[in-house]
Amino acid sequence: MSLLNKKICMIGDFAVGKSSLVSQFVNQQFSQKYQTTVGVKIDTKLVELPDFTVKLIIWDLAGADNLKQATQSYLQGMSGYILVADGTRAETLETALSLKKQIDSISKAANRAELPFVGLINKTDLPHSWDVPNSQFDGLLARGWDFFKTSALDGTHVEQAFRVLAKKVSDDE
Amino acid sequence: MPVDDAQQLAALRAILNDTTLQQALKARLDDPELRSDELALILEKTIHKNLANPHNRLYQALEAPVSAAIASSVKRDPSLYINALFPIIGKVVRKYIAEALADFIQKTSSVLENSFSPRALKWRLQSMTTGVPFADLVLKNTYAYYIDEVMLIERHSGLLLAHVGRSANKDPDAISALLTALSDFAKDAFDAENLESEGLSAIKVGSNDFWLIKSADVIMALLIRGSAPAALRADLEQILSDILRSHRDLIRDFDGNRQPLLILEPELSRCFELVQNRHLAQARKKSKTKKTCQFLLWAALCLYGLWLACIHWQQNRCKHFAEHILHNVPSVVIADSHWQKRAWYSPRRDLHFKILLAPKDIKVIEQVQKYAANDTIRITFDSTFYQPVEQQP
Repeated sequence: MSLLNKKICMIGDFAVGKSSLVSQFVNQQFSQKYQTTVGVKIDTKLVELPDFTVKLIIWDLAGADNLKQATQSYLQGMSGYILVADGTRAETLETALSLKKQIDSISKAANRAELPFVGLINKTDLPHSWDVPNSQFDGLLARGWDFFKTSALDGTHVEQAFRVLAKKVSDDE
Repeated sequence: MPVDDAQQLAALRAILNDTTLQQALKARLDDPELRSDELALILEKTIHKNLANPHNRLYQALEAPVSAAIASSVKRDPSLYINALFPIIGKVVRKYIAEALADFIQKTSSVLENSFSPRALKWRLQSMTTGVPFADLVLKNTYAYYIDEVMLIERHSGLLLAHVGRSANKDPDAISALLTALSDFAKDAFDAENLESEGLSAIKVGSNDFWLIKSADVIMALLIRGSAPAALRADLEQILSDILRSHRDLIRDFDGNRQPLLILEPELSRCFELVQNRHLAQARKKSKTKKTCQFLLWAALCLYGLWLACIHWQQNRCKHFAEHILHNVPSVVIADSHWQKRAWYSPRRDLHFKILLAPKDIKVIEQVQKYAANDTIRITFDSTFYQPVEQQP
């Protein structure tokens, strides 16, 4: 079975839970200790798919509401990305969609096709503070995008979301 | 004659007799600009057509005049070529001078550091107790280095293309990504304005270094244990350059599957061989220097011994000669003689006092003394007037 190595990036606003999601996916355990990501953190994870194995090299980028020059250089050569929003702060979803637009425009400027991505609306473990209406979530799905409601705390849909992206970046070749 | 041939002949005759056509042809042949344009068109096509075959006669025919034209042009106006080549050669020269300077600074720092540090004192103590020369200990402890890992990384994505190394317990994929991120971060943070900047070139981790050798598309990262000389970088750049020349297409077509790139691993292993060869060459050089030093030391000792023997022989000869002369002077008695600080003393003056010298004997003694002084022997000669108190018979 062949092994593919793929670079993916975690992109989203500040404190939406990117590092926690990676931690949940990579180590299968959630660190309660809040940690603001500085710059970038690298993790790797093997994902077994029916036909092949994908090694995801996960670039966990610092939270940002726009793509600065430094962030753009980290995005170079990625095969796909995960957009993360905080379900308890609806504005972070707008930021995530804005970041997606910026990434698409960079791809367009370089004459490349849009990169595969998966959207995560995180923190389903806080249902009382949930701020994203179901209609908005359904609207995202209706556009043909893969969006998941996740929880880095209990692992809801985390593995599934990463597997979907792994499949997408492998099929994209 | 067949009908067709007759018709063609008639047509040819008509063309040849056509004065208008003749004039047009003459005008065309007489117009140098038109002819040069046509010739240029033909030449261009010929050159393009034969470009793929360097053994073509056209190449051989052009070789001599083109070389002569370039030589003549260089002779007439060298500045033209200097200006054209400077961006290439200047950059290379700058790079090598910078590396040579870095190497020199590194060695100087090492010598300074190792001369006055507690570590140096420890080595001096070790040298005294074990008998190993201090210089050997400094070299052993400061220049012992080896390459632990070599990674070839796709520069933009940070994906690992190939990896060879001794450590198998780490995740080289994560390390290669992190090194790329650090390099990009350093460039963006400190040198974003400089478009030619290559970003981070080395990372120091304790006593180890990560060296990043970069090309436009790939980074060759090396984990070096110990302190490697800066001059090693040029050799490593050459290895990277060779890899790119042989496998550029393979690297460009990388899609995340490293299987086709396994053939790069022997190429990367050349880095280990390079260091091994440098160590061997250094050891050979040290051994040669040691042998030369030993030879010079022995030669110096032999020469010193020979010199001492010569001096001794000469002084002995002089002493015997002086003694021989003095023995032949009837009124002189040598009471005693010995060597003391390279001087010949006759300390028992009381005996001398009893000797009555005739004026001719004094002259002989003075001559001997003079001769001896020339041959680095000093004869102490004390004389005094002697007035006998006895009654003369």
